[in-house]
Formats: sequence, C-alpha cells, structure tokens
Amino acid sequence: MFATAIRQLRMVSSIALGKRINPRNIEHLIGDAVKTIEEFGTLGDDIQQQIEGPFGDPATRKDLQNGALQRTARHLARSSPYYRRLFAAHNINPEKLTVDVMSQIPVTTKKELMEHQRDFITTDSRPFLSARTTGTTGLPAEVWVSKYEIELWPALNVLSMLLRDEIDLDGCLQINISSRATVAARMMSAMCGLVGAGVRALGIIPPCESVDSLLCDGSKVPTMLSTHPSYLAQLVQEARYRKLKPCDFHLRHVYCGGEVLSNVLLHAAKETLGAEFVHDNYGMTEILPVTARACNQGHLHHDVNSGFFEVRDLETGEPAESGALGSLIITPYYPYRECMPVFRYDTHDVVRCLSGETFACNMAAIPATSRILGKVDHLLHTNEQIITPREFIETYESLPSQPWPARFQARSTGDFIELVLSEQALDGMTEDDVEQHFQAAGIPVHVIGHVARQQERYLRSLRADLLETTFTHTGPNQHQLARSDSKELIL
Amino acid sequence: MNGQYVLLIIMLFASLLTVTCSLIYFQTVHMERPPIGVFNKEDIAILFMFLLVLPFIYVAIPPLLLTVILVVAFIGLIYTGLRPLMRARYALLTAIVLLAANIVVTQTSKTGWAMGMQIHWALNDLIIILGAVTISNLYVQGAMRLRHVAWFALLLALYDAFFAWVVPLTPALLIHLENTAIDPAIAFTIGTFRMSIGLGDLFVFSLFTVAAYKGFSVRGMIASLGLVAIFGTLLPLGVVLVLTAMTGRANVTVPAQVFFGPAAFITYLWLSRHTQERSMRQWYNAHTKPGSTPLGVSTHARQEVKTTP
Repeated sequence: MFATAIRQLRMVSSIALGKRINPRNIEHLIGDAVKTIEEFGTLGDDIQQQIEGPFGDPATRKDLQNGALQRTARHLARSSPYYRRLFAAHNINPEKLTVDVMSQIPVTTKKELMEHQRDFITTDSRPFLSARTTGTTGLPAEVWVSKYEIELWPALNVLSMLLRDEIDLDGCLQINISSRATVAARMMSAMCGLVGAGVRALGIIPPCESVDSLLCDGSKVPTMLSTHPSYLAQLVQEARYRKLKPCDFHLRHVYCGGEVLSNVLLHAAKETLGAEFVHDNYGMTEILPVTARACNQGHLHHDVNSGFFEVRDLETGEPAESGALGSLIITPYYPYRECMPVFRYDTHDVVRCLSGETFACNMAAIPATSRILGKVDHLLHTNEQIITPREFIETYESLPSQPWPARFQARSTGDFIELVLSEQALDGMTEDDVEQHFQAAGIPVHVIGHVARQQERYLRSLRADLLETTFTHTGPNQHQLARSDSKELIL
Repeated sequence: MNGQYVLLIIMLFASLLTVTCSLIYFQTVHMERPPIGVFNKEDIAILFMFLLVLPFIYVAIPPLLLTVILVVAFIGLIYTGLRPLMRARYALLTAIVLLAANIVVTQTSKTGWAMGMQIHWALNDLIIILGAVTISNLYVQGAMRLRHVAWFALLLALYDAFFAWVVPLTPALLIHLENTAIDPAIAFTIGTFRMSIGLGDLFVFSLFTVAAYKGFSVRGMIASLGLVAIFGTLLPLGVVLVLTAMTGRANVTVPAQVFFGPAAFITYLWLSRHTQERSMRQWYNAHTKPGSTPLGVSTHARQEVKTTP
C-alpha cells in the first residue's frame, strides 16, 4: 500500500515535470491493481478521480493543457526536423503556446506524414517497430514507434482499462484484427500479459473458424474479443446462421474500432454473442496513445490526459461551434509520444462538436464529441443537407434484411443519393421498400442497382476484407458451401 | 483481594475490550480505502523501519513538540475512525474535543485537582482504544493478512526485547512520554500501584485478532482472544508482579511482545495448516447478508458485495 502510493507519486511527478514515464513503474502499478481486485473483488474508493486523471477537473484543465502543449512543442522544436521547420516558418514560440492560439498552427495531414516521413522521426529517439496503416480508407502510412512507446502504451492502456473494469483478469482475448496491424496486435498481447489474461491472436480469418474458436471449451475460452465492426458483423451473421445462442459463448467484452459501429449491429452483437459490453473505441496508429471511448449515451469521450483534441470546422477551418460538424484534430502530448510525434494531426474523422454541453452519462466529467461519423471524404452532400457515413450506415444496417456489414456505393447527385446496394440488402424487399426506408430516416435515396453477393466486396472496402488464408479447412466448409454460390466455388 | 491482582484483571478486561471493539468495528464498518493498493510485505518493511526510527525521534525532540505531534496524529486517527460513523465535521469536532479535554484536564490536575488524574486516564484510555481500533482496522481492511501480522509481531518481539533489555530505549521513552499530555498507553492506578499496556501492544493485539477473524473465521477469533489474554496480558503483567515482588523495584518494564510475538507466530502457523486464509472479498461474501448495508463511506465496498456472485 505504501509502495503503491510511492509508485503513483512517481508517475504523477513524471507527468507533471514532463519527464519520461518509466514503463516498469506503470507495470508495477498494474500488478498492484490486479492484487487489489483479487483481494477485494473491485478497486477502491475515489476510482472516478483516478479514471478522469488530473485533466478531468475543468477548473485546472486549461492550465494543465497549456503546460502540456508547451512541453510537447518544446520537444518537437528540439527533436523533430519537420516541426522545427514548421514552427520556424510560422514564427511559433513553444513557450507562448496556449490552447487559445492552437488554431493558428497549421494542421498536419496524412499526406504530409507520408511525404516527409523521415523528418517526422525525432533525432533523440530510436525507431523500433514500424506500423503500416491498412489503407482501407486511403493510401497506407508508415508510423515508427520506439521501444519506450511500445512498452508504455499497453501499460497505460491496461491501467486505464483496469480502473474502468473493462478487462477480464482471468479471461482470454481473441484478436480478430489484421495481423499486419503490428502495433495494435502487439499492444493487445502485451496488455493481456500484464494482467495475466490469455491471448488468441487469430487475425482476419474465415469467420466460421473464429466462431469455432469462440465456442471452444477449456481454461482459456475467449471472454474478450477485439475486432473491427465489419468483421464483428460477419461473426454475428455466422453465429446466427449456425443458430447459436448467447449462452453458447463466454464473451463479456467486445472491443470494436477502426470503422463505424452502428447501434443495430452493437445490439445484435450483444444479443447473438452474449457479450455484456460492446466497447466502441476510437484510436489510430498516427495518434496513439490518445484514444476515445463511447459512453452509455453515445458520446465519444476523449482521453484528455495524454493528448489535446480539437474539432475543426469543415468549411472554415476554425474551431467548430457546438452542434457543427468538424474534423477531429489530435495532438499527443510528450512524454507519451516520442519517436514520430505529430502536432495538430488532422485525422479526417468527422464528429459533431459538443463543446459547452453538459453530459449526464457515465463519463460526464470527460470532454466529448459525437461518436465518429465517418471520414471527411465520405460525406454525402445534397442540396439540402450533409449526410454522414454513420447516418447512412445506421440506416442501411437497420434494413429488415439485416445486411451486415453494410456494403453499398453511394453518390450524391444534388437532390438525392444514388445507391447501389448488395443483393443481401434486398432479401425480401423491393428497391422501393429500401428507398422508403431511407426516406423515413430523412435520407433521399434512389436505388440504381444491386450487385450479387460474390461481387459485393467491390462496393466498399472494409477491414473484414483483409482476409488471411488458413489451411484449417482444405476446402470450403459446410457453412460456406451452404451459403455461397456453388458455381463460383467450383470455379 | 490485593490491589495488584485487581489491576491485573482490569488490564485483562481493557485488552479484551480493545480487541472486541476492533472486531465489532471490523464487522460493522467499511472504511474508505485507496483506489489501488493492498497491504503487502513491502509495507511491513516500511512499517518496521518507521517503528525503528520513531522512538529515537521521540526521545530526541522536546516534550512540547512531541505533544503537538501526538495531538495532530491522534486527531487524524480518531477522525478517520469516526468518519464512517458520522458526518465529517462531527467526527473532526469529536476528535478535537477529546484531545483538548485531555490536555486541559492534564494541566488542571497538575494544580492539585484530586479527580484530575482519574479523568485524564479515562480520557487517555478512550483515545488510545479509539486509536488502536482505527489503525488495526485501517490495516486489516486494507488487506493486511494474518501472515503479515504474525511476522510483524515476531519482529516486534525481537525489537522490544533488544530495546528493553540490551539498549534501554523503551524505559527512556516511557519517562520522556510522562511529560506529554497524551500517554500512548492505557493505564490504571489503584493506590500506589499502576499498570499500563502500550498503544503499540494494543495495536498488535487488535491487528492479530481482526486479521485472524477475517482470515480464519470464529476459530481464528477464539484462538487470538486466548492469545491476547494469556500471552499479551496475563503473562507479561504477571511477570511484572513477580519481578516487582522479587526485586522491590517500582518501575519494572516487561515488553508484552516478547511473549505475544512468538505465540502469535505459532498460532498463525497452526491456523494456516488447516485452512487457507480468506481474502477480504471472501470475507464480504461470507458475512454480508443480502440487502444489509454496512456503516461507512466506502460505497465501492458495498457495490462489490452486491455484484460478486
């Protein structure tokens, strides 16, 4: 108990003084938290204060943010060739940087990150592991991380999850994300290792094999699942096809990210897979370890302790007004990010600004925006309104035919949206029915065609399409045979 | 009956009263605990280091400063113990009033007030019992296990023997503490006879009894009550009486831990041979009836009782 207090003091002093955080110290704190849970069943009192962190207090938040931004900018001006140039060109003095003048600093885009990749790597760090984005939403970017970062991030993340009771200590995590997502996969394995949970790293394999794994018996039966919404949809479909019941699974937590998770799919995952909690988390390789979590009322609460977030108006480029759509801009703080840090990184993820609003959710003290509404490039503009990918996907996936994951192509013609949908979406419906369904949701849609099941993957790239081949089944299994066009399989 | 034997029975009663109060407090009050952290062997080491250094500091500093330190420490302790039972301001007020009254009575009794010393000792004993109940519960409810207490008591036995008989620090400390308004011991006087048991001893008795009850249920509690009565009180105070009679000296110091420590360690070994020591979670599950609400500010503990299958 005394030693735990000393460890907490060490961590807080590192953060306050802007010094590197010792990952070993955090790992010991995790050990303390695990022992506390083993002894008492839960963590102790004032846990909410721990969860919110020092930045959770609105009265002191701005001062802390100013200090953290100045510290980060100082580090970048000293060690990052790209930002040294940028700050010099725009006459930015890190010592005078405040929250109020952040909007005057140019944003960093993925294009710049790709074009000047070497200049983003700081001179005082040693790149250890490269993470390539999957490219499902554009060209892939390569991000380098140091050994310090790859040790620190999982430790910080798992500590936060322990505080929120979002991880099973004696459970097992099944990882169904692309094996090429090296940083994410490594982080998740490390996180489980830190709390003594098991890991089944499967990757994006045929859904029937993943469902088989979820159903297995034994001491390390998966109680947690990490995947993308599109793959989760395939797992739900597979489970429903096999007439499996929630009691057949042992899942407690499903962690989703990387794509838009519709409410209808979230509830379907709970009903079908028996998961107690489906977490819709936000994070991307470029801005790690800054993440965001969806609350019980559908806001997206941002981690204000490890980074600074802004919502930039899509049209003016200025800070977005409350209620307006904007692109999410993230600045991870030093010392959380050291190898290839970014400053005011434009994620191109659209959110609705909720600044100035008071929340009544389970994370009310933490600043929030709406959940991710999609990528800026995927917004559909009609003469009357802007339709976000989330609105479109929510409506599409709530079709009675349950066409999960949503496969479509949509294009604005000005007055309405031209829609090409998958054959699956028309199951038991006419094109008119689909149009009326969208009309009821306030989206003017004109269905111009549909594609066969075998072609539907060309409609829209999903992370579930990053399929990895396995030799588990020498041929198509009975479920695949039953559901697929036999002619194509023979070919 | 000889006054000395009456005192012996009173001291026995006082020791058992202290540990019984600790047990009742443990059963009925959930104390606030930090979000992360359980008591472990590192804490025993830190606690022991603290105990090692503290007497030297006590002896070195002037009595007035020592009084201030003790007053602040006891106000904090009593406040912590009373806080789950009443509103914060009332808990603080009670602690301050108790300590202030004790100081006033002590100073007044020096002017020749006959009843003064009696009231001083009554107040002092109350403060000490409250202190022992609070610290022992803080540690046991913070997940200190009987294993830790047993080792702690054993180390304390060696420590006490060394500083009582090899390097006479304990007698020097007792003389030094006589000049302060708070005596960290419970004491009773009949005529010219006076017997006392130190706060440290009462703390270890309470700690052992509560930890034994938490870890080994009623069997642990009965064993530790017997241990406190025989090895913690009767045997050391009996030796005091024998030594007083044999040597004719008025001030005889016999550290209770010398008897209690080894006996406590053996009792722990005996208890743990039969069953595994329970965690706080297991204790909650075994002792919390559905719908019952323990006293205290620790709402988290109450939630866990409800949610744990």
